[in-house]
Amino acid sequence: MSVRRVIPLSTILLALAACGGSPQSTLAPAGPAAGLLAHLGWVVYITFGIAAVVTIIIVLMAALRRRGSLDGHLPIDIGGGHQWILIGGLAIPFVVLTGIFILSLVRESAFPIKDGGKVTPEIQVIGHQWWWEVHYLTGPENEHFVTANEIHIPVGRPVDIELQSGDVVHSFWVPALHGKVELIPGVTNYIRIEADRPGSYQGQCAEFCGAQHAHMRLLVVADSPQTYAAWHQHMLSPAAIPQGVDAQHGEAVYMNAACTFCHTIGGTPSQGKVAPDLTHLASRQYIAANTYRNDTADLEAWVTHAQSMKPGVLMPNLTSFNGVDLRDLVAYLDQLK
Amino acid sequence: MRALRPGLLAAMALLGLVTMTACVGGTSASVYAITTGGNADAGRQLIAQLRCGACHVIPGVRNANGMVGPPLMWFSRRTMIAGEIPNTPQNLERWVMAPKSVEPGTAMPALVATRQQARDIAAYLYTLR
Repeated sequence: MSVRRVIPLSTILLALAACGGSPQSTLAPAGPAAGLLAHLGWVVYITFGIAAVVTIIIVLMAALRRRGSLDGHLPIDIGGGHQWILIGGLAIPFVVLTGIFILSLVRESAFPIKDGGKVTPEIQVIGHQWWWEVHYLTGPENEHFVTANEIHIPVGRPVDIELQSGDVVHSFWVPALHGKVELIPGVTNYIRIEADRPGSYQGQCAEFCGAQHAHMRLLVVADSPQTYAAWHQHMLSPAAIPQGVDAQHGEAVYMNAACTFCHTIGGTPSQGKVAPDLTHLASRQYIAANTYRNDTADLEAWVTHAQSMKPGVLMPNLTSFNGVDLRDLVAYLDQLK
Repeated sequence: MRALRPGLLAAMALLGLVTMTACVGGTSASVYAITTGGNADAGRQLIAQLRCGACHVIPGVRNANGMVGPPLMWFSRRTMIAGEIPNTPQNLERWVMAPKSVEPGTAMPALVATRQQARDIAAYLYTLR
C-alpha cells in the first residue's frame, strides 16, 4: 500500500477514534434512552454504508465495462434495464427508508414524555440565557432546594425532569443519557433520564439561544444511591460558616457588594433570584454554566472580568474591589462547599 | 512498496524540519533551568493547570487570555515584579509562592504549593523573551 493511500486512510481512522473519546458522543450511551438512540444511529450508519458501497460497486462496474467496437455493438434500444430502476431505484429505497422512518418515529416518540400531567418530576430545570436553574422537588416543600448547572442523579433508576424556559427557546441535551428536548417559553416538557453507571456526563444547550449559546453547558453527575443520598442531604444544609479571617472578611465584602441582588447564599441575607444559587458553589465542578473550572484563579477572573470570559453574560464586570477584597471574596466562595 | 517520489520526500523532510523548529524553545528553557533550578516544560503545564491564564495573557499557554492582571509576554525583559521588587529568579519565586509577602494588597492568590513548582513556573516565564 502506498504512502499516499495510507495517509488519508489513517486520517479517517484518527477522526473516527476522536469521535469515540468525545465527552458528548451519542455513540457512547450511559443509559437506556441514549442506548436506543445509539442503536438507531448504528442502524442508519450501517444501512446507508452498505447502500453506498453497493452503489459505488455498481457504478464502477458500469464505468469499467468493456464497450467493444461499434461493429459488434448491440442495438442501443434493446430494452431491459428497467428492472434495475424498479428494484434498485424504487423498491429497495422504499423498503429501507420506510423502515428507518418508522424506527426513528418510534425512537423519537420517547422524547419528551407524553402525558406530562401524570408525571411527578423530581427535578425542575429552567433554562436561562445562558445557564440552567435546577430545582429539586422531592420530599416535603421545606426539603426542596435550588442549584445550578450541575445535576446529580442516582444510578440505576429513572429520574423525571420537568423542563421550562425563563426567556427564549433552549434545548436540554446530555448525549450520553437521552435525546434533545426543547425548553419552550410557556410550555412545560418532561423527560426521563437514567444512568446505568456512575460518571460525569457533559451536556449542552442544543438550540441556538443567543451569543453564549455554545457556552451554555451542563453536567449530570450520576452517583451510587448512597453517594447521591449523602449529596442530597448535604444540599439541604445552609451555606458553610466562613472559617478564618480572610474568608470572614470575604463574606462581609460579598454581603456589602452588588452580588446579593442577583445571587442567593442559603442562610444569609443574600437572597437574589436572578442568577445561579451560590449556597454550595464550591461543591460544583465548573462555573459559568460549565464553561470554566471552579478554581480560585477562574473565580477571581470571573468576578472582575466576566465580560471577557463570556461576553454578553448578565454577570457584570465588578471592577470596584481592591486586591484584598477580591482575594478574600474568592476565599469565602471557595469555602461554600 | 513503491519508491517514494522526490517531491514527497522533500515534503516529508520539510515537515521534519518544521517539527524540529518547534523544539527550539528547549534551548532557552535549558538556559533558564540553570538560573531558576526549574523545568520550563513542567512550569508551562503547571501554569495551565493553576489557570494563571484566567487573569494573565501568557504566550504559549492555551486559553491564557485573562484581562485581570498584567500580560506576561516578554517577562524576562521586565525590570520589576508587581511594581515592587526587581525581577530576579529568587524574587519571582517568592512572588508566585506568597504574593501577599511582596504586596499585601494584591489580588493575586497564592496557588503555588512548593518551591520546586515556583521554580518551574519561573523557568517558563523566563523563556518569554
